[in-house]
Amino acid sequence: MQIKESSKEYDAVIVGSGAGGGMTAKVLADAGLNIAIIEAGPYFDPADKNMRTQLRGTWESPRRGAGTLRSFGDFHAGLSGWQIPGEPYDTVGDTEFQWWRTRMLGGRTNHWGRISLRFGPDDFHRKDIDGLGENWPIRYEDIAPYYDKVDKLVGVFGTNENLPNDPDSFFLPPPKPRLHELYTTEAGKKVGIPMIPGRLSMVTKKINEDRGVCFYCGQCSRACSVYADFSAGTCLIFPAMKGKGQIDLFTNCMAREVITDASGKATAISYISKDDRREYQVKGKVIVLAASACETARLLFNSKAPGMTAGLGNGSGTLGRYLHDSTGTGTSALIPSLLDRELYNEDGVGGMHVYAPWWGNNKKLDFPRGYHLEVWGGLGMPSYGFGGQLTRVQEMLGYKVGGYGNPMLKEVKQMYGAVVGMSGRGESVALYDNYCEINPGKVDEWGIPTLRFHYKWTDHERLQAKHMHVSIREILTAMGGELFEPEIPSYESDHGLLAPGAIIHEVGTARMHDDPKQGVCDRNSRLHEVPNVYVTDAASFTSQADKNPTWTIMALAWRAADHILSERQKMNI
Amino acid sequence: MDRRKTLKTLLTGTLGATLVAGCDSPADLKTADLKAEPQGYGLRLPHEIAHDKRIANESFFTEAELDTLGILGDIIAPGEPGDPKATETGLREFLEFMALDQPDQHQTRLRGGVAWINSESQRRFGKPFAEILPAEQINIVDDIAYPLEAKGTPMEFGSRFFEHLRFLTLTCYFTSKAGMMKVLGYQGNQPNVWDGVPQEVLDKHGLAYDPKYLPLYVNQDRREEIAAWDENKNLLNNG
Repeated sequence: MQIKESSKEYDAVIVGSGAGGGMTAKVLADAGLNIAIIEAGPYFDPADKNMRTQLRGTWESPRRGAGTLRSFGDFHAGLSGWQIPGEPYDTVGDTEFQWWRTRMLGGRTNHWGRISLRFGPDDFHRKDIDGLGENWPIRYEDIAPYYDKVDKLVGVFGTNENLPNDPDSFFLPPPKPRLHELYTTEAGKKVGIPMIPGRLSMVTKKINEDRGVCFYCGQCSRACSVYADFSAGTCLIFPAMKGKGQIDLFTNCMAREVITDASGKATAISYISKDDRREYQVKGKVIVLAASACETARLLFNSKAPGMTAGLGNGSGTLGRYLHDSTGTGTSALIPSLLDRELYNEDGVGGMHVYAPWWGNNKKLDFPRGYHLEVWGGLGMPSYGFGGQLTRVQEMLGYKVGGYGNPMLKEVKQMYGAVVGMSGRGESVALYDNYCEINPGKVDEWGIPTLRFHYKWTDHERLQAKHMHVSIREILTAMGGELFEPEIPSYESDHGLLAPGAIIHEVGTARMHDDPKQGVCDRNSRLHEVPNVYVTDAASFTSQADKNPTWTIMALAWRAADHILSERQKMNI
Repeated sequence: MDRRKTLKTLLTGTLGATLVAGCDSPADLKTADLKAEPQGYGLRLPHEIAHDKRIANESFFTEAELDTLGILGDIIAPGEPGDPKATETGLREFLEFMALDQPDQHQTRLRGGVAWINSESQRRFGKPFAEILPAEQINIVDDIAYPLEAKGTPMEFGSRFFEHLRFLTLTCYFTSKAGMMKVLGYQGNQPNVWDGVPQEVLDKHGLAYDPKYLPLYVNQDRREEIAAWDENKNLLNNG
């Protein structure tokens, strides 16, 4: 049911409907609780044929898929993006941060890359290993049972490889690699970078009756109409709405603050309805924040309670601090043996069928923390910009550069599917000095104080990015590739590192710590200072890993939901 | 040609949604609905709807400019016999749309380029580009179609324009239904079952699937059976 206003008190009010909020809602609703979900964007169901962008040909877009309004293309399911009209954010001085926001039911899970990697045992205590950053208050053993549950509920394909820091899982069977992925795997063997089947959350084999099976259109970024890829709306919230508890969806409602009573206990969420621009409250016995790392920090900053002037639960002064994103860079090459390819349908799943988990040993390298390599290429559906590399490829092949007419069209066809690229995604070290905070005096169009960011890369990340470039170039060159960017970007240009935030893995703004003076959340994802407020998005991460955060968000959200249920049973909340 | 009508058709897509019906007054934009709505090519946000409405209500190129761009586009992508030429893949409508969709990137480059080529045509043949003979048109195009040769000469102005128009024409041509499915030969965007690279392609490239992984890849004959594992994380029903 979608509603705007309610006088009733819910068992739990959850802000955000993405991976964290969706999972918390699913577990609590299955236990019979009455839940309100506050979502800043519209209702979305990719099975609705009018909302669906999946299986639309590029010609159906008047801009032929161009990213004018959506950074990742006109059919991308991510409503909103780097900039949202009327909802600004800023950066301080010469620092950088790009803040991605997806405002819609299901949040970013509607369009994410579905790369679903468990953190490994080392990832929970990196400080013990390299002396940098901070250890998590929990260990792999604490979260492993929840990873198991997430595997079985949500579905992830992959292979058990018995790797020390990339744990085995309850995997669905992976799809066979595409042609360029076989080339990449062979090249990886030559240069000592092992590539294994990808680990992505598409249902390659039926997992339950609520979900369809992948039909290999390669368009997971558009959200799947048969729910074969994981999205929180379709795979957690919709099934939960059919279950034991009751879920009321408050869509188009922008959460403003957590309301507390005189004792400092949270009682409600106040929100602005985007439909009438008025403020309302929805009451809950437990408040769960899962609005995304920075949005959750913003909510806490904007909430006041007796004796808490720096934001709710921020006695430690660490709220907004330790913000960190994955590192990322990459490059691509023309692979001459893939010119003039035989054509067939190789859309596959919407992502890579192989990848390279971190293979290196940081003790022998000049940077801490690892990264994994992703692969792209193939005979994908043409979109805006198709053929844009024509003149570069002509140069590489010694053709006359430029031209027109059918001979030129033939050259474009010849190079279709012959470009392969790789990207590195790595772990950065969380730093106190990388943070977000309220921007004094500046509100968004809903009257809510906005954020400003302060974030700088260090040499840890720059040197890692340089290593990514070396590794990727070795693989592409071993495939016979001609690099589009022969020189590794300079130190001065951060060796090609994308801006902080650009990988959309930002975490850490309300980190877990056993010491209430050093972190906002306790080991159960609950605020140290407010017993009935939980954080189930990546804000609670003590550190990121060289893995994408979603699987860990969901495992921790499930764990937090179990804690809420046990605290309810003990009548503590 | 009623360009505005064409743009409306383009915007409403193939499902015939009624995006622009009765919304010609700019005042409507101020009271734009605050809700996301499906608009024929998927769910669109309020600011996206307002953006598309503005484009539907504006025009940029003159008919003469579009004629010239269309002639050049058909020189860039004439198509083999039986294949479409660029203007048959919607090039005029696409260029008009993009000029309004991304004005800073396209308006001056395209309009200025058309004006430049008309001046060049006037100088060489005494008439604007659209009115000279095809062989005369090619005479000019040959001087601007090869950027390395044009670089550093007066032709570089025309060459930069031609590169931009070639970029847009290639997009339009190969993202059209016929250009993509027939001319290029893209075979995807439809439900199917991926079971690996065809054997003859593997053979040609001297590649093979790793025997270690072959039993682990999805057995497509059993994909509809609900997955089951033993307690050691071994998938039981894929073999």
